[in-house]
Amino acid sequence: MAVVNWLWWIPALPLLGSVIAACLHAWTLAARKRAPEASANDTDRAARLAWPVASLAVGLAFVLSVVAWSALSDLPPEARVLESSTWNWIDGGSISFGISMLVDPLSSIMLLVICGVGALIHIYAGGYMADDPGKARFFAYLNLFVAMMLQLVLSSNLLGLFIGWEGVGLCSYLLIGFWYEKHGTSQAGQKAFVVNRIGDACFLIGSFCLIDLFGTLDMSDIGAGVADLLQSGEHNFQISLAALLLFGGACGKSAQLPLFVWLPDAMAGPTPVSALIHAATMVTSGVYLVVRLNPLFAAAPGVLFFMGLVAAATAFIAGSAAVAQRDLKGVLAYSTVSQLGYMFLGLSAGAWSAAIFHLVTHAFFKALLFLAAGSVIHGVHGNQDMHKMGGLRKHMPRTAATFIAGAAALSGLPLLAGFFSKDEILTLTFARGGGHMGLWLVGLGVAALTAFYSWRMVGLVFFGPARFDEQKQKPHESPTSMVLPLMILAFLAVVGGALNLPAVWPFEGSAGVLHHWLAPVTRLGDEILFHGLAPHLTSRTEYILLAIGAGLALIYSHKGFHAYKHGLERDEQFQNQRPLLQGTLRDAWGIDGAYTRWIVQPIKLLAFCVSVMVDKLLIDAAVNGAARGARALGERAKRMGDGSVAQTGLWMGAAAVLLALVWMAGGGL
Amino acid sequence: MPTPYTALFILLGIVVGFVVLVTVASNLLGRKRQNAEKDSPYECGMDSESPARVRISIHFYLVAVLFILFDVEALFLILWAGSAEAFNAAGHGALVFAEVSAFVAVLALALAYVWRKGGLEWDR
Amino acid sequence: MIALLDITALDAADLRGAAPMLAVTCGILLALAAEIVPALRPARGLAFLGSLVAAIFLEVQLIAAPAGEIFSGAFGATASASLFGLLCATSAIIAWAYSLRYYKLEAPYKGEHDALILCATLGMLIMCGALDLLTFFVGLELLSVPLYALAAFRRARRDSVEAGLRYFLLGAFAAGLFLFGAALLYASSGTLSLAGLRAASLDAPLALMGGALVISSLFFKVSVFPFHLWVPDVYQGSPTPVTTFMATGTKAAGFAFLFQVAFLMPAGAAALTGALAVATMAVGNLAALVQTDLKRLFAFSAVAHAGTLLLGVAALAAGDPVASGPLDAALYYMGAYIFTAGGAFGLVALMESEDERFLKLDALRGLGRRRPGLAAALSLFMLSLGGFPLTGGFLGKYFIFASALRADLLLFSVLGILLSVVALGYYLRVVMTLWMLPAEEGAPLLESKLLSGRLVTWLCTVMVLALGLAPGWFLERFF
Repeated sequence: MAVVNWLWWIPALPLLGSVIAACLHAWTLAARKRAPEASANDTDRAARLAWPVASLAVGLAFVLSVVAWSALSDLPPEARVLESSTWNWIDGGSISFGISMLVDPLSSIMLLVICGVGALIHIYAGGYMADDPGKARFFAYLNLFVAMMLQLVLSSNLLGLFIGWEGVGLCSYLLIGFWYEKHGTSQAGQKAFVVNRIGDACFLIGSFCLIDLFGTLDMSDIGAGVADLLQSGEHNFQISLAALLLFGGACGKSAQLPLFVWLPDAMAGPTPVSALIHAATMVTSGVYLVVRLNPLFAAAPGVLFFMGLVAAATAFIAGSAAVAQRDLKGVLAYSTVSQLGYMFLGLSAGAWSAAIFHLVTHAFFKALLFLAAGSVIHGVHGNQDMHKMGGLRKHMPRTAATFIAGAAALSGLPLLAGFFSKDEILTLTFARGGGHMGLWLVGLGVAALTAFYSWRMVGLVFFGPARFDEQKQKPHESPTSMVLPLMILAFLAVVGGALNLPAVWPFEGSAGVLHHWLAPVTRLGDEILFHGLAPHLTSRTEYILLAIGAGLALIYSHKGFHAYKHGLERDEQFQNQRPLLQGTLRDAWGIDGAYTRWIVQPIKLLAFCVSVMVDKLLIDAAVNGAARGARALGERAKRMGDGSVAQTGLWMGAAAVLLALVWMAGGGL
Repeated sequence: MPTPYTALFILLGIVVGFVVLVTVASNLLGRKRQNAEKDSPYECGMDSESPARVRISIHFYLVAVLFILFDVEALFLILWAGSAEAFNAAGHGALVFAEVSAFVAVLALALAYVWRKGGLEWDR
Repeated sequence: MIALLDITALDAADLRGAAPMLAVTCGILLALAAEIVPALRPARGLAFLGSLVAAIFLEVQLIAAPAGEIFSGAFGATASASLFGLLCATSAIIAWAYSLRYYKLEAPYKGEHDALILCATLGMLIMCGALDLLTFFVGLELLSVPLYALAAFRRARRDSVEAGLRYFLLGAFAAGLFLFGAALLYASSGTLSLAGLRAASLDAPLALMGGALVISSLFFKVSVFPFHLWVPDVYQGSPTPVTTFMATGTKAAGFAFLFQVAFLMPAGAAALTGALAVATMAVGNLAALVQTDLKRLFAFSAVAHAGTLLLGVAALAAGDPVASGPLDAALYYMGAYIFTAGGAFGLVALMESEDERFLKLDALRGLGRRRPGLAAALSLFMLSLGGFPLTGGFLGKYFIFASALRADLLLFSVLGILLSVVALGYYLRVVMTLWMLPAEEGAPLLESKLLSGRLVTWLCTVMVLALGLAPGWFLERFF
């Protein structure tokens, strides 16, 4: 294993960029304070530098990622690990932890995706945020996010991963609430944060279990430790518990049932944020975590199957909700939840590399769709309601073309990126057999839904009559700095499937490139899960499955497009004839509302009760008078004598006596 | 049969006898003019029984607390004075004297502070 | 037999171990002397700061080379006691730095104020190292009596006087509990020194009762449920610099001794202690969720933090396999807490100095825009109180929970972690108010040019970050 210290620079560069952007922001604020009358042109000079700096930082990180990748590929497959020296973060007392940067095939893929897609989105954001007074702050956050995400995928142990994990959560919170003057954004940010903290609590408890089991948080040691534990045949329960808890953490970050409710709200943030954080990178960190710890999950088949159930249910619920949304970004948000469900479905069948494959292609086409949607929203001056769009392809042809490429990839039209990655997951789920057959059927249904809503979007936004006042509102194409990243992503969304072609692909050696690349990482998990007997399908079955997938995608794409390319009739019909179903779908089966009613409000009620009982009745009863200054001090002193001080003392005395009695009775509970 | 206590009993008898003698004599010889003051116990103004909730000047408490502080701390000096000889004999005289001096110095500073701040003035 | 102090047996080790306390004592005398000799008045601040800095310096020396048991075993100048003492002295400096412009009407009595704070600090130092129930009691009273007076220091304000009276009455009650408990322990074992009590068998009902009363009174001082009832009112009513001092220093001293006497708990009491810890966290965090007054919110948060520290005591009682684990964890937690809570309360004091009213949460609206530096510091303190990674608060929590887990207190740890999720609800509300809500019309600017306040805010900020980022540096030197 080679020791390579320049790996530190990969997260350090965006961090540096973030610091510089923050300084630029401070500078701008100071300039505005100095000259409150001056125009933004004069005061915001510093802020305009933030964009090139931030983009450059991520771009350089991308270059380093490519260098890391090529350095890896020069090594023999089993030795493909680069690690930096260890920095002893906590050393002494009874605990010690070192942090080091580690690049192996899995993290190299993640690096390329994060830095590559990240750089494109940074370039795009320059145009998107050009008129925003807080753009330097925006790029400071965005760069910080990239740094934290890189820390997450580069860390060799769970504690370092957790730092990144919390860091991206923080940035997500900051960026969702970026336009805090707008109603509801800060609440959406807080909701995302709090829901994620539930997952994080699971994550922490799960990692405590791992410390208990293996005495380490180093992830490769944990993998080796799982294999050893399985030999002894003990601790099966603890392994499953740890896996389940970590999956709980992944559910929070990757927006799976029951914790997916924050993602649709998170769309309140600026669109580049939705593309980078809530589609391409952060939300996939749960998937990354499971693949990273694949031996642990492989040793808990029950948890894996449970994961499949959760994933299938999430994919289906979110996919069906996407059909009924009117908000363009809402469709994309639910679609993201649904596609993440696909990834976990693949993981539950042990298809580690297929899940990563879908992660990569999804990053391409979903980032593309979000950015193109942002371009549309930018073009129609902030409107997000698809019912008020229509016919936009005439006004913004380049955006339309790229959006359609993304939608085609998402819906899985044959030979595009989404087709291969989705098919790989479905095929391997089918091959796993048993209960996974049922999950496979759900997956097929979701594929049909996906194709339908993708093309519904295309039809509603770009075709049919214009449903806005064309005189007042003049839609316009976005500047080149925004369209160029769209084109690059569109290209990737079209050809990205070549990364991991199916086994039946006719040309020798071209199939399964990504699968082979990831093999060193997933080897242990495969051995534990399949005992060396990976499920195998005949070529004919594979062809049939491919054909089913292609057929479904074609049929439902066609249906969706033709139902909506002329106008809104289908939506109105649906709403008038089945209002209840439409409402249920639109609100994602009412899950969010149920949380509000059954969890949030009771907790608020409890807090209120505690405050009333402890605070108001016991204590405040005496204070209020003082606070208002209504009574004379003498009277207050008198009341204290027979009022609440005595009562408080009584409580304390009673508690002391109770404590003594309990101890005397038996020394404990 | 003289015991060590015989003298004590004799003293007791004399005391009780003297008290009885004086009281009876005063009762027989003196003129009697009854009034409320004279009927009160001890005949000196302080009622043995009165409402508990009377207001006493806050200065009273201040002075009382100060008195107790200095009074109690003076006790330490008595202890030292009582055993100073023994300390001297054991060769620790200087050390213990230094310790007591430090103690007294602190007390003196406190007294000066109280004095200067007007804590001992009754009417302010 | 009560161990008698042989005043003739003083030697160099005694002096070295007592040096920090002597330094503080000199500070008290100088502060009082400055009151009666007008010429000395300008040097008042210097005397205060100098004596505390000297104490800190001497404590650092003692951490490196502990003096061990001194004064015939009545006091232990051990490394951990010195570290606790160092924290107490630091907390006094923090509270003092924020108090300089706080008092308006009471400004002429600022000298007494400082002397009282030094007295209380001396009491804390004694509590931290006490190896004898009597020594501890002397420290406890030396801490409490000045604090009663300090709580009522703004005597023109009803809430302040009420806070003082309330604290005094309940504190006297708790002191009574302590004395009664100590008497029962003496009756059952014939000794008051901790070493003697450790050697004696404490299974008799009399001893258990005594232990329970002693520990109850400590629970009162550190505000563990259900002995926390005095906290919100007293914290709110007291002048805020005093609250700062109470919330940080008193807690450190109380827990220092609580760790010393944890052996008084019977075998199997760990579960009860853990349950009390969780209940304390629950009450503190849930009640804080609905507060709108900033000081009250922090007061309940302080209660919740006492719960977390109590979990460390529970881990000690349950037998953490790493013997020094719980105490080290609590020390680290306390270290982070002194700077975090000290900074948070202190900033409230700083803001209140300008505007005489109680500070409502709403007063912070839009502060992020108008005073970004102050808002950033306050946000950092909130994140650290909430246990956010890369801050000292996170590592403190981490060490405590890790210790509790090693001691097999899984259930309580899990509940504790879940409750700290709840806590984020209100810490983030503060952060959100600072940065994301627009300011109200005509809101006071809360500008303060107090140099010492700024310096100490910087100190707290740097320390919170340093404790979060480079724990190794501290662990190497102080543990």
